[in-house]
Amino acid sequence: MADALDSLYRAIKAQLDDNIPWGHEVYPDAAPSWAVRPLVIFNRVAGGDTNRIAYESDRFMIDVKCIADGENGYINAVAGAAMISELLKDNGYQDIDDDGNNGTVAGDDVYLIKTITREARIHELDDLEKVGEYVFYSGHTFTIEMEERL
Amino acid sequence: MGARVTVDFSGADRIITQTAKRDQFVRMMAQMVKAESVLSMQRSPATGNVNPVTGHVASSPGNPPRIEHGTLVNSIDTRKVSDMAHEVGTPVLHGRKTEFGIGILPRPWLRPAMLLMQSKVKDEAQRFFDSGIVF
Repeated sequence: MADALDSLYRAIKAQLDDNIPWGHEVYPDAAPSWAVRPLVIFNRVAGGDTNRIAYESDRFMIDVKCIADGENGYINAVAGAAMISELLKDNGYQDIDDDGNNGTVAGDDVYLIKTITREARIHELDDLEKVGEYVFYSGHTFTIEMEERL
Repeated sequence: MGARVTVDFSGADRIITQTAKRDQFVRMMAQMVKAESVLSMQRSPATGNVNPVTGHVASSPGNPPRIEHGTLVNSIDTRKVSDMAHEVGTPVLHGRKTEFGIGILPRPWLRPAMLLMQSKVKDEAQRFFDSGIVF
């Protein structure tokens, strides 16, 4: 049986997959060595019942970052962050848009994703190879409330 | 550039009128975040790479960074930014890199502590004020 984190990871992967600028390059926790930037990495920051600081509730904090490099690194990273926000922000099942429609990231048969709240912005750069060629990381932290379906 | 979070109780001043005690409570909550951050590093499982020279075992991704030299853990501070808000964080660069996973796989240590404090704040406030505040 799937746990809440597994359901959440699957839902985020499905929601973000096949979008510009990252295409299918969406990875949970870490990207494989053959992955091509720009790509998206999302990871659990806190919440759920894993690791030392655990919670009984199905509330998660997740970082979702677009990582890009090269000539258009900055542009791709920032555009990716905007797209991530567009796809996830206030898009849980109980989030209602201006027309009264429910969000589309609803979870699976076991867990319902109730709300997705955008938190702080992440924007960093790193010179991984130490040769003045920067890798840009841009995205947001999201707080996600889930609930086991009855 | 390090990593910082703000423990912000703006708005609570409308329901808690005891100014001195209120300040004390906000400060205490910030200290709780700091203490939990430190504790999480001290108790982070030794499941990462082993330094062949020193024998130090690093943390694995997803867990708070394990203490080696103590630079990060000793740099965590709190500071008052307004009557109802205190910041907790570090000026140390690798504190930010581990928190957000910049150049390495993420090992968050600050925001998990913040989230834990959020889950405890109602109980702590009721115990601290002991004045029948209903949240």
